[in-house]
Amino acid sequence: MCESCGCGIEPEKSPDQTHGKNTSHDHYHTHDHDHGHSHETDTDPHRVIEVRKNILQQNDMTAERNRGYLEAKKIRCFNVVGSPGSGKTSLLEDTFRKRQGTIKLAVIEGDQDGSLDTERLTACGVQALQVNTGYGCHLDAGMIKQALKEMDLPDETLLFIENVGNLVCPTLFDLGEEKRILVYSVAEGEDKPLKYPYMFRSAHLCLLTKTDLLPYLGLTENQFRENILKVNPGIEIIQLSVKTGENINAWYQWLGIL
Amino acid sequence: MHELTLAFHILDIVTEEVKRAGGGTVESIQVEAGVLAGVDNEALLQAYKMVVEDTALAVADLIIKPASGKGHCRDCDMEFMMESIFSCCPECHQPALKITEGQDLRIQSITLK
Repeated sequence: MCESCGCGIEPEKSPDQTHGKNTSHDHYHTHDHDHGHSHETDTDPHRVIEVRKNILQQNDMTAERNRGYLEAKKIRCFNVVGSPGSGKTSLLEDTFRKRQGTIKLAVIEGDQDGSLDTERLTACGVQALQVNTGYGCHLDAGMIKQALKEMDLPDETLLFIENVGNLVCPTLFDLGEEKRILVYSVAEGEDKPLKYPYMFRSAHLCLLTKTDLLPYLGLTENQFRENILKVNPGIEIIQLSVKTGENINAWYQWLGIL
Repeated sequence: MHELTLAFHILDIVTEEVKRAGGGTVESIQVEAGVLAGVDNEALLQAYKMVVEDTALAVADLIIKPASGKGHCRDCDMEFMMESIFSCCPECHQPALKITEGQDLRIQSITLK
């Protein structure tokens, strides 16, 4: 590691820790390598603070705190991501209506604005809290920490976090969930895993929804599966239709609430 | 535009680190961005410029150095270099089951004037 610019290229060592001659390494920046002086702070006008910190450290630490809180209360928590219109809310609505009364259920709803989804899900008889991100394009761990405090959920709740509809931005932000569930409808086309690979790569489970539309699209479920697995060979895939109820039991089985 | 959030985090971390080091004028910030992190470096630079405007970092350069990626192949148990998220194992041409390097975004160091 070069101690001057932190570039990872081992400089040719010299007794005073100056850069060696090999400064032609591959990265773009504006500062000058041509300094044959020591990096001791008393002689170097350019003081360097070694940081080596993850930019998302604050979010990741808060997410771990959330995870610890949820584990202590035996609350299972799933981060539900996907495009707007992929069927996230419909899936949760259907799940809540069918399982309400047999298990404690709750949801945190992330949207840029409004509370339409929260109203829909509250009508199912579950505890629901709306989080509006304003200009933000994703939920973060701090928002979930605050939401958990407000909700004060009972032990052993099954909690879903419906993230802002977006196939890009929520990818990087750990919320403290047990697993990430990507809701991907066949209406979005079979090419989306190849266009938005990072989100597909980050999910543990992909629910391929609206399979009742496949005959109208002239596509097969295998065309979707192939592209999903190209990006994430370790992902689990469950295809289902909320509308017809096709294969919905596989979803309940995955959740452990069949 | 999650790069905007990242730029705010950079501003927060750098401000805190400089304060802890006793203050000073920041000349540049060295960031290492894994090629598999899902971050657009150009967008991050633009977001950074917007975020630091009218702050003490307004004249500080953000220097982003890409960091290489590595993945682990399920089939042949080999670790291989990944230039992109679609990179496959050179032996058995399978996608990586696990990404082992290249997803981190780190502030490596801060250079003061």
